[in-house]
Amino acid sequence: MTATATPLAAAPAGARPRAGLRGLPWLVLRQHRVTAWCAASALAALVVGLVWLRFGMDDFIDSRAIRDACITSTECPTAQATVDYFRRTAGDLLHYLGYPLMLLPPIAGMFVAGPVVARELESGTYKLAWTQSVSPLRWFAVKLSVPAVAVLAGGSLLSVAYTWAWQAVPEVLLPGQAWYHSFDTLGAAPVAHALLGIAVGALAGLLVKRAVPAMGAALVGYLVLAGELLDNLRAHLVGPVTQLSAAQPGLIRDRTWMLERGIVTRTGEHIAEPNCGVDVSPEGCLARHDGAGWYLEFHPYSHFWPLQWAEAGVSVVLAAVVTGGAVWLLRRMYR
Amino acid sequence: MTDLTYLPDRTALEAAGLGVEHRRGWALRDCSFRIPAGRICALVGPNGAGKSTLLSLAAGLRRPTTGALHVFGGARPSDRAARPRIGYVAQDKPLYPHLTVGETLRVGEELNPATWDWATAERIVAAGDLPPAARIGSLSGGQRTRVALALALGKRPELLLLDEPLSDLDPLVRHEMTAELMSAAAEHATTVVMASHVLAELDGVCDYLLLVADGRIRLAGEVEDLLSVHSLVMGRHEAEGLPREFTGHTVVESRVTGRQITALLRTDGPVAGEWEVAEPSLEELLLAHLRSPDAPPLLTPGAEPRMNVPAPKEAV
Repeated sequence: MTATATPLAAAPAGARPRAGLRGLPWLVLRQHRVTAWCAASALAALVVGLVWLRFGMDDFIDSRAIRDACITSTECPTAQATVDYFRRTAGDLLHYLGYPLMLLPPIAGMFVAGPVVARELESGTYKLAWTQSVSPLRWFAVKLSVPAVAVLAGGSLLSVAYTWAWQAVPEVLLPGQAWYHSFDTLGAAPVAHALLGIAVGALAGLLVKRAVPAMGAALVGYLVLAGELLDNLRAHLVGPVTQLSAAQPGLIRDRTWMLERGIVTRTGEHIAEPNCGVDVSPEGCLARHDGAGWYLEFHPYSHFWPLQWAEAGVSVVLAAVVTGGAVWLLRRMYR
Repeated sequence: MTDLTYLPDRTALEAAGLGVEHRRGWALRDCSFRIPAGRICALVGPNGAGKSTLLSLAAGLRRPTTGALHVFGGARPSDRAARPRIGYVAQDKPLYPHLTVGETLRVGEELNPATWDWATAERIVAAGDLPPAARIGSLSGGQRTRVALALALGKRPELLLLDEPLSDLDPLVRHEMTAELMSAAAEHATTVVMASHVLAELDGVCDYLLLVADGRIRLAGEVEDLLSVHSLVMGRHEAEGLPREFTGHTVVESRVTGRQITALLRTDGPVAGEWEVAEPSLEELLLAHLRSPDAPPLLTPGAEPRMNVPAPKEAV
């Protein structure tokens, strides 16, 4: 553990030489020393695992020459066994290594809500800090900054490692982990989500004031915000591409996030996935709905990073709004 | 008391029209008082009288619903400049249970870089034979009290607020800690406000008194002055009702035992008739007032607030 023990017996009065963090950040880190060590160890293990996986996958894909493999076994029966093996091993591992990034935001939120904020309010130790010359506002700011900085640094490192490992795999090899499936674990999204989680956790901690219920409130609050709001908003953060065609377009296209297919009527109306009944040809369907042609809405891979940054931006703004609410609440309650 | 600590013109703590509303009613109502700097003030009252609320207001942990509370002659306790000058030990002595004694004292240093006094803090801890490596969570209640007091005193506050500080100490340690507190207070001219319902804790220690009951101030002022305006009167009980000689004085409390009547009077001149008159002890004064909630409140001139009284904001 860290060298925080104080040589008390022989020490004279007056200032003592100290290295490292000082003041309130020192206290916050000291309070959560075990958590910090566990998180750092997990981070190191995950990053090492991801680097090892990336090199392993590169090697496997090149040595078996499956970079241009096919999606179904009817297309290329010979490589199928190799591709299946790859999906079962490296593919699954990559999938599971994404879970920590996906769980980081709600876990960060629950951590801030319970152990960081509500436990102090519950046990009364906030009185100690506030009467040792620290104003409630500064206490709250530092309490949030320490986990926020940790998430920014550690989460970014993990996200970079994950994105880098993920990029090694052509989409045909892992069709279930396309960029729009793994969106929450790639790029800036998980870090921005985690900041939102921290903000929600802080507000929940202040509101509920008891550690365990506050953690539950933070979890629910984050899931509502991220699950309902962000998920539904995502496809519209950047305008999708709309393609018109006379014939019914196919839905399988490399690296493309399909949003909607349907018929454009002669009046210009869009009918999404029209119901034509069984055994009706696309042409018959078109005729039945008085259609002029088909449309297809989608995000090409080139929208990946714009969508990422847009969602990160929305998350951070949302986090700022929630934090503002928490600060307002704190000032109202205690000043 | 040395001359250094007696500063009648400077104000440590004063309140005007102070009120705090809880969910279940008023914890404090229309409280006005003043405590001059350098005093050792006893804050006395029954459980639930509002003592803790008053102290947490003075510590800047909460804000009043009505009125105002000022420290050091004009600052709010939550002001950036005032916070470092106020020490506070809450009734439940909150400390971080996972930290060691040494680390807890380091918290004091880290959070009060300008004023932290290692020597004082360590002297108090060392007097209790507390090993620096011991975890706070493993200490007894009395030992935790010692660490909490060391934290509060190591900050070198000008105003020290103690909420039932010594209630969980054994008599010997209580005596020793009281002496420690008083010498530290005298050394640095600290104003101490000490809440207690253990009257024995206070006698001979405090020179100022604030009696709170039902959220209101009942008595405030110098202990000597308060004692000198009261008289304990004993004599024969001749007829029903109060003796005629008591008119003109304020009767705080009177009790009849057989043919004997004992009364605590707020005297206005000598009491006529054949009475045995004595100055009450502090304990007698306090008990009489606690037993008689209808006795009118009394603030000595020095205990009247000197701040501008803000317009009362009547809560709906």
